[in-house]
Amino acid sequence: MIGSFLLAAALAASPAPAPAATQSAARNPRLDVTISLSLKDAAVVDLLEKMADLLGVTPILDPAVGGTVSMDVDGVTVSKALAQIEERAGIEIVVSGEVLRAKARPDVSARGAAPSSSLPAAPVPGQALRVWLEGAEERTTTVRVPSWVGRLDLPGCAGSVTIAPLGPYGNNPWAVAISSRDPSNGRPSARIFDTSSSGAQKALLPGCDAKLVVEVGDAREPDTPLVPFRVEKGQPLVVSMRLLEVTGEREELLAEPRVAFRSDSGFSVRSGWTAGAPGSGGQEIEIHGAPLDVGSDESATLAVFARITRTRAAAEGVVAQVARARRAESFWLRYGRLVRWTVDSSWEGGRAALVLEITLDRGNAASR
Amino acid sequence: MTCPDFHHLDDEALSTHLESCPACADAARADARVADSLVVAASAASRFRLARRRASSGLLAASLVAVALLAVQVVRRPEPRPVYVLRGDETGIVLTGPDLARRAESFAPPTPRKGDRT
Repeated sequence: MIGSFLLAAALAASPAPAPAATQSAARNPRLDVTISLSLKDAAVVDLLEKMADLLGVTPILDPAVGGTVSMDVDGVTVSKALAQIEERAGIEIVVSGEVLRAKARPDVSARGAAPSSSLPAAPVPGQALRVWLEGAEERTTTVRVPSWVGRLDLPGCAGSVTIAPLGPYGNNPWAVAISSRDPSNGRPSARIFDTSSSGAQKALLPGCDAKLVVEVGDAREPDTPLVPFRVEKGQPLVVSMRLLEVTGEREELLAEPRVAFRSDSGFSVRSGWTAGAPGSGGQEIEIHGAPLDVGSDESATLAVFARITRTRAAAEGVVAQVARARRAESFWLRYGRLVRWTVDSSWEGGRAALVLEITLDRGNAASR
Repeated sequence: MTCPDFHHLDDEALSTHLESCPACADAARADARVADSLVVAASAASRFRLARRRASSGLLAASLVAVALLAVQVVRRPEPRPVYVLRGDETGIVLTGPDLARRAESFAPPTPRKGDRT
């Protein structure tokens, strides 16, 4: 009898189930999902795009939304987290249907329009990585960026890392992706370093020293760069993509490339159109990707870099770039499962969002 | 005078003897008083044991019912809600959760370089 009393007491003491979330037909059920945020000077646009990913909706942001935010909250619902982001970033967020919209509050100074697309982001040199441990006296290690997916050991990293270029073949890469595995849970994680931005960055890779610093640039004369060895036994993979221009009302398909490639190399897609004579406007779509960690559990880590430029003819035949998106993201994904990536949430002045749907599959499975 | 063993006398002989022997009559009255108290005490003890048994049975039944109800509640309790984590700094934002891990890079605007179109 005493045992039954104790059992009853233990059961009664266990936390009671949370009350069911109040949901109306229009309310996104994921607004009640629990989330923790740890942000320091994080871009508000990137944060809202990730919140939209979590909610399974498309972010369409006013170009005036911007700046950075720092906050630490633990175990709150997504709706409460959005309220805190509104407060701290000085914006208004509305989740309605399949869209998350945000605009700057009238009383908050706007960040100004996104940088106009006057910069062409032409390929810039990025043939080498210089890697060192901040504060250490050891000399810098120079790594040649391969034209394939390679592996090598970096100073300060417990295991080998994977490195791959992102960009058109035959040219200097636009970005360099590096991935490593977290020794605690074995899950891979990746960083993508932009070759067009100068300066060194903390690598912040799992399994690597927090002081590890990476700088992308040209190989210098006295350097004897390490050359990563190509990953063996490249597996056939297929990536299917759909680039969509999404407004609150409709989705317009801009491109639908499908690429077969091997896991020891990346893929590169380029398409576009020009309206009439040169200078009359047009559209360029470039998507570059590389698999960084192909697991045996039907999952892989994929790094993707996308650049979409839409030009429109201005007066007197002068071409003016009206919109340009240029983003990179790395995904841990399962074969055959579609992921949606918002390449630009303020496309053409916040009129729409550019969304890339990506599905990675094994080559033999996809060819069935 | 010694009193005879009352258990070996029939009722008539016992009555006759007690009427003729005041000492035995006194002893018989004293025995009867003691016997009545024992009977009363035995009856009270029996009632107490019955009440205790009923109370114990009731408590045991109630606790078993409580255990059963709470066990059903635990079994029917919904799965723990998934917990997502967003970590970020000026270099990018990482979203992790059940079966989900992705990182968006926060690129700075490209630096203009020699030869760039304007």
